[in-house]
Amino acid sequence: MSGNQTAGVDLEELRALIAEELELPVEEITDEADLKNDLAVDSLTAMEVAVQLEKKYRIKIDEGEITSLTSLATIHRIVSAKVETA
Amino acid sequence: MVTVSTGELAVVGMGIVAPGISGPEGALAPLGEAAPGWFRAEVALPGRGYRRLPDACKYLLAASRLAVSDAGDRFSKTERNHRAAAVAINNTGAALLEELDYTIMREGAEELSPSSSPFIAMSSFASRLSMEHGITGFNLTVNSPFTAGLEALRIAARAVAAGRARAVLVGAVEEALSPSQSTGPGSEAGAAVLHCEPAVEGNARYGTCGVRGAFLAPDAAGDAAAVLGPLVGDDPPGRIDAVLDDSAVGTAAARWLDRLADKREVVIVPAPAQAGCLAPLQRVMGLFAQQHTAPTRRAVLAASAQGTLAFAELTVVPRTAIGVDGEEALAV
Amino acid sequence: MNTSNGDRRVVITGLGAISCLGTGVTAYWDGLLAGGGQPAEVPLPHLNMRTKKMYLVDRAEIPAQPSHYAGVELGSSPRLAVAAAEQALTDAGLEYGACDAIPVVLGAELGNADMQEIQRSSGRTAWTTLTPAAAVVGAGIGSRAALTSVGNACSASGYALTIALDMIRAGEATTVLVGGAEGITRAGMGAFNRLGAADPVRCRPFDRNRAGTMFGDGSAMIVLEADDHARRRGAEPYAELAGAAWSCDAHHPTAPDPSGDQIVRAMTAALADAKLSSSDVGCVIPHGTGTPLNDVVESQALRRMFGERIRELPLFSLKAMIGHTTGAAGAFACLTATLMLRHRKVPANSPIDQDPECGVWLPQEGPVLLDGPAVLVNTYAFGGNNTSFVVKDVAGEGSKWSR
Repeated sequence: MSGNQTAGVDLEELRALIAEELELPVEEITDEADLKNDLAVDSLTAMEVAVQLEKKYRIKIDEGEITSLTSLATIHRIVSAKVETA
Repeated sequence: MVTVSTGELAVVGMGIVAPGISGPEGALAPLGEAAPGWFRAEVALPGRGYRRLPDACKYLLAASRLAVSDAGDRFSKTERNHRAAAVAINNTGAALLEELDYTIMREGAEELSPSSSPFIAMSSFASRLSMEHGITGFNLTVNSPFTAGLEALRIAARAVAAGRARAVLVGAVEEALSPSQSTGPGSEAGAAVLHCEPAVEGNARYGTCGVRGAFLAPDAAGDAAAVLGPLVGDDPPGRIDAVLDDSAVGTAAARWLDRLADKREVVIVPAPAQAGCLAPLQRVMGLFAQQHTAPTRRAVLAASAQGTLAFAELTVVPRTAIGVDGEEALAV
Repeated sequence: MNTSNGDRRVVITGLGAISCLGTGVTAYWDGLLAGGGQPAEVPLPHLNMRTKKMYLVDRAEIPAQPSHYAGVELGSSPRLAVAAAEQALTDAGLEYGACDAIPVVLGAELGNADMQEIQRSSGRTAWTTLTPAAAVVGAGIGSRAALTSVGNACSASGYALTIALDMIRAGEATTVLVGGAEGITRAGMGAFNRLGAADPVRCRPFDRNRAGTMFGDGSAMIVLEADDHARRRGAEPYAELAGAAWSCDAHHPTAPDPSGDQIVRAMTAALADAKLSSSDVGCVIPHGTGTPLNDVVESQALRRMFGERIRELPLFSLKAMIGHTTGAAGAFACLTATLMLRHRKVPANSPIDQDPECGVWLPQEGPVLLDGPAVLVNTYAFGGNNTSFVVKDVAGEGSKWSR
């Protein structure tokens, strides 16, 4: 699981991680589904998602950045940028 | 207007989730060992949003579901603002609290799990109950050592009499201590929940109960008679189940009960030193689940090493069996 | 709604307090008038977190006794509770140690946690009860009556006060010792740090830069008594605990329901229970913790309760002066409301840079006249567990406050 990330962040792997954290089937995690409004993700769950992203991709997500984790597409963009500059 | 006695509640539904106990009828048995896998959350609570809850939270939710469904749809038919919960806890958050504190000591607070963090507040174990059952009347957590389960019944009865609720889920929930916290075997895990309503005519499916309390300071345990006499009263029920540890207070209570033994059936239920608040409420449930052909009075006494005492007096209604759909056959 | 003795009036006849403002009720009131306390670093080992401050009782003022109870080593909270209880009973003219018929009702959340944390840091791990404090107080005062220990986090002593009120109204007791006590806690502070709910600067409710709450330790204890009982024994009441109500948001484990519907319901029901209208309220002591959402939701709810009058109705933001005393917060607020009624004034609030989203009036220039016979108090907690209660003047009884 802690594989080499230099090849970029695999979108499907990320989708699966988020589905797992949100306790939802993978199909519901569409690229643009809004975590808060469409998938009823609360602040505590959003923090848990951030914790899992930090662990898996060995990145740091600041407290203030958590609110910008709004959809799979956005998360993919943010995580990819962090992985590249890491 | 119906006059409601300040101290009485009717029990209309019961649910229990505890190792080795299959239901209220088995609740008089001692708890089994909490072996890994004894509680299957995915069966008791299917669906989303439970995974990150501490297990104790899930025991309480599962036992509450059983109690609410045991009473048919009475709870959901009660207006939300008249639904309430009174939940007893003792060791419920102990192991988790230790784990969180070790994380702070060894790695720092920023490494705490966000979803576990709210559980430093012990009332968080009952919070989910409100969301799950639309409880907007009140949700109260009580924590007196050992007697909190009976204390929850007492507070619920008073609050119902004061018009603060019409249906109350009265529960006790415990989680096993961590190995390093335990000084001996036998810490409790599980939850028991009684769905209670005002004690009005025809309301009591299992029966009615009232709880009194008293306090016997450990260094005054020699005065047991002066405290227990008024607490138990002049005409105690035919059977008294006393959940007692071997502390000064527990020993004094057991000795005092001896004098009743020739006139009443006294069942001493030994409790370990680190017992939580589940056993006394579990005992109440077990006595309510017994079958009788005539109204039968029963009692549960609990005493803690710290001196808290509670005495629950039950009147169990005649009943032969309760079917799965809630239909019941009255004894003739 | 009360079916039994609901008309029995319940008065406050004794007060006790120990907080960051000092020991005793006089020190407390003087401390509020002087602008409150200042945060200090918490003296606990292994305090690995960003924000390490609380509003602390001067460590030299924490009584050393009782150090043990029924085999449990006691941390600061039960000892603070005993000290405040002794003051309250003396104030009420009752003899400490001879109160066999007086029940103790205590709000205690993390209770004995500091002792456990100190033990854990030194490798001692055996678990003892977190909540011995009510029993410790019961033994101290010589009670033989039932104890109640309420653990509803930050609204615990709001619940405790209501339970005590109901006990007296129902005729279960004529006198009840009620209050709250909290010590320091590493786990509690760590969790609030982790959740982004710990303000690193100070407790500054309704400030635009507020960044969470900051805890305080201490104990406030109150003697509640049936009015007729107090009069018979010649005790002069400070004020009346005139009404109280409970509600629950049933919304989220930690966040308040943004609609505020249930906190409005609690305030409304508390006033109705007190047989008062919102125009009788001369001051509100809000829950006001300094967490961003709480203060906005509560401000909006207060606007719904009081309408345009909210612009001229003084709020007293107590937590800015003594920190968030969690399980004791309701008891401290009840104490403060009682003292306001006695002194007919609302102390000046701590200076803040007020958040325009919080459209309430927090007079900061100086004390203002308490212009109304009642003070409304709110206490809220994790899980949306709400209580509101009303403390009412007894001296003027319909004359001094008539409008």
